[in-house]
Amino acid sequence: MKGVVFTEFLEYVEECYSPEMADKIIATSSLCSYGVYTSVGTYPHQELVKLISALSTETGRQVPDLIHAFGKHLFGRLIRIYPMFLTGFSSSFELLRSVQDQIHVKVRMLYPDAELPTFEYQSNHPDQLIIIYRSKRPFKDLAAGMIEGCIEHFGEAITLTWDSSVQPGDAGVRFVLERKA
Amino acid sequence: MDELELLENRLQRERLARKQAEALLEEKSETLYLLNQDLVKLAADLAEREEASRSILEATGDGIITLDESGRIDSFNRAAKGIFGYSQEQVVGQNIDKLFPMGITGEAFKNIPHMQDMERSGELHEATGRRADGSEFFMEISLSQGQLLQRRMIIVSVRDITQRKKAEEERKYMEIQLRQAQKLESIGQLAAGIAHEINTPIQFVGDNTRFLLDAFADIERLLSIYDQVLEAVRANEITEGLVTSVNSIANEIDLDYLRSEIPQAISQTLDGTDRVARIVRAMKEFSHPGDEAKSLIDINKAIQSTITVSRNEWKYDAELETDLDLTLPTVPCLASEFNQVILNIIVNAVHAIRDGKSDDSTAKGAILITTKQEGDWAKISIRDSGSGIPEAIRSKIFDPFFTTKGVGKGTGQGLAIAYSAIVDKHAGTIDVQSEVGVGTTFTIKLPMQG
Repeated sequence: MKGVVFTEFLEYVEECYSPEMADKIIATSSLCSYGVYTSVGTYPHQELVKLISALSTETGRQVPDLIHAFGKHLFGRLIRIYPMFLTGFSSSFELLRSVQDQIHVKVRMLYPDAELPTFEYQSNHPDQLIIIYRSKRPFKDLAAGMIEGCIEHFGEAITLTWDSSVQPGDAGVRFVLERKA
Repeated sequence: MDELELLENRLQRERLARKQAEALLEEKSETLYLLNQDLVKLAADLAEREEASRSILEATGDGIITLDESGRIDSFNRAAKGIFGYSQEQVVGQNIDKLFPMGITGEAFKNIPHMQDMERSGELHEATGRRADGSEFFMEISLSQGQLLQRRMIIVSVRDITQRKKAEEERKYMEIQLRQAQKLESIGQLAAGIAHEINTPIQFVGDNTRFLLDAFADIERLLSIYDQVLEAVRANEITEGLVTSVNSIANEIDLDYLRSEIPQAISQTLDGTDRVARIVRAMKEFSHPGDEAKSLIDINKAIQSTITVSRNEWKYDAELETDLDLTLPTVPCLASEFNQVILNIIVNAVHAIRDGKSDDSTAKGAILITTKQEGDWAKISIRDSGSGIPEAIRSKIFDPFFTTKGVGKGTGQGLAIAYSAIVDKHAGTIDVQSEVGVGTTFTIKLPMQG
C-alpha cells in the first residue's frame, strides 16, 4: 500500500484525536516499520489494519466506521495533494468513471509497482452509476468513504449503497450511486 | 507521556522517514539514470536504423512513394524523382493522380484506399506513368501497406520498364520475323521436293501426250485410206488394191497396239494431271495464306496435306503410315500454324531417322501419325524410329534457338514454334517421350472447344 495512505492516516489521527493518540497506536501495534512512513514508499497494508485496530481499541469506535471516516478524509486530502486529477470533471459520476482508465493510469506512471483496486462500471440510466470494486485488500469501507468524500466535494444529492454479493464466488463489492430527484 | 517525549518520538520518526525517502530518491535516481542510458542507446540505435533505412530507400533503384489513405503523397525517394522528373517538394501533399494518368480508379489502384485484400500486396502490375514534362511511360508497380502509429501507409514501388517494353516489343517483332523466315525456309525446302514430285507425273504426261500425237499421225494415215475406201464404195469402184493398202497401213502403224495403248496413255495422263492437281491443292491447304483467326478444320485432312507436300522429305528415309480416326470432329484451329507444327515434327523425325542410320544402311525408318479423340481433346501422335532425344537435352528442345543440328542445318526454331503454336495459340499441350536408339513420340492435344 502506498505510503501516502499511512502518512495521511497518522495526520488524520493527530488532527481528529491527538498526537499522543497517534504515538500510542504506533507504539502498541508492533509495526515492522515502527510507524516510519514516507508518502512515496510502499508498505504492507496489514500495518494500516493494525493501526486502525489499535485506534478502535483506544477510542471504542468500530473499525468499519473508522475506515469509512478516514476514507472521506483521505479523498479531501488527495485532491489537495493531486489537484490535477480533478481537472476537467464537474460531477462525481464523471470523476468516478475516470478512476479506472485515467486516474489509475496516471498513478501507475508515478508508481509502476502500485497494486491498485479495479473499478468496473455499469449504468442503467443517467442518474445511476454502479461501480463493481475489487481489491486484494479488505478496504471496501475505505472505498465507500472516498466515494462519499467525492460526492460531498461536488455537493451533489446522491445516495450511496453497497453490498458484497456481486455474484457467487466474486469478492467484488457493488456500489450503487443514485442521483436524488 | 510528556510533550517532549512525544515530540522526540515524532522527530525520530520524521528523521527516519526522511532517510527512507532519501534512499528511495537515490534508488529512483539510479533507476532513472539507467533508463536514460537505455533510452540514449535506443535513440542512437533508432537514429542509425533510420539512417540505414533512409540510405537504402534513397539508394534503391526502384522509385518508392508512400501515400496516406486518401492517396496523397507523403514521401518520394530519389529514384522516384529520377523516374518522374519531379522534386520531392513538387509532389509531397499532391494526389497520386498527378503521377498516374489512369488515376486511382485504374486497375493497379482499384483497392486504394480500401485495399483490404492484403494477399494482393506485393503483386506486380503494369501501369502508365506521367512525367513532369507530360510524357507518359510504361512502369511496373507494386503496392503494399504499412502501419504508422495509428494510420495506414500505402507504399508504391515503381519501376520504369520503358526499355524493357521496347526490348520485349523488339523481341516479339524478331520472333514474328523469325517465324516467317522459318516458314519461308520450310516452304523453300519443300519447293524443291514438290517440284520433284510434280516432275514425275508431268514427265509421263508429256511422254504419253507425245505418244498420242505420234499415234494420231499414224491413225491419220489410216483415216486417209479409209476416206478413199469410202469414196470407192460410193462409186461402186472398190478394188482389191485398195483393200490391200488398208491392211498394209494398218500393219505398218500396228493398229492393234495403238488400240490397246492409246486408252492406257490417256488414263495415265489423266492420272498424272490428278497427281499434280492433288499436290497443288495440298500445297494450297498447307500454306493457308491469310488465316489469322481460328476456324473449324479437319485435322486428318490437314495432316494428309502436310504429308503430301513433305513427301519428298521423307520418302527416301522412312515409310510414313497413318492411323487416323475418321470420326474425329472438326477442331477450332489456326490451320497454317497447325500444318507448320506437323511439318516441323515430320522433318525432325526424318532427320532423327537419318541420324540413327548407319552409313551403309539402306533400310528405311518408320513414321506413324495417329489421331484420336480423348474426351474434349483431339490427340495427335507422331512416332518415329529415329535416334531418340537424350534425356539431358529433353527439357530444352522447346527452347527458342536450341538445336542439335549443325550450323546452317537448323535454326532451333522448329519445336519452339510448335510449342508456341500449340500451347500459346491453341491452349493445347505438346509432350515428348523418347528413348535413345528407339525413337521419339510427340503427342499434341488440342481442345475440341476453342
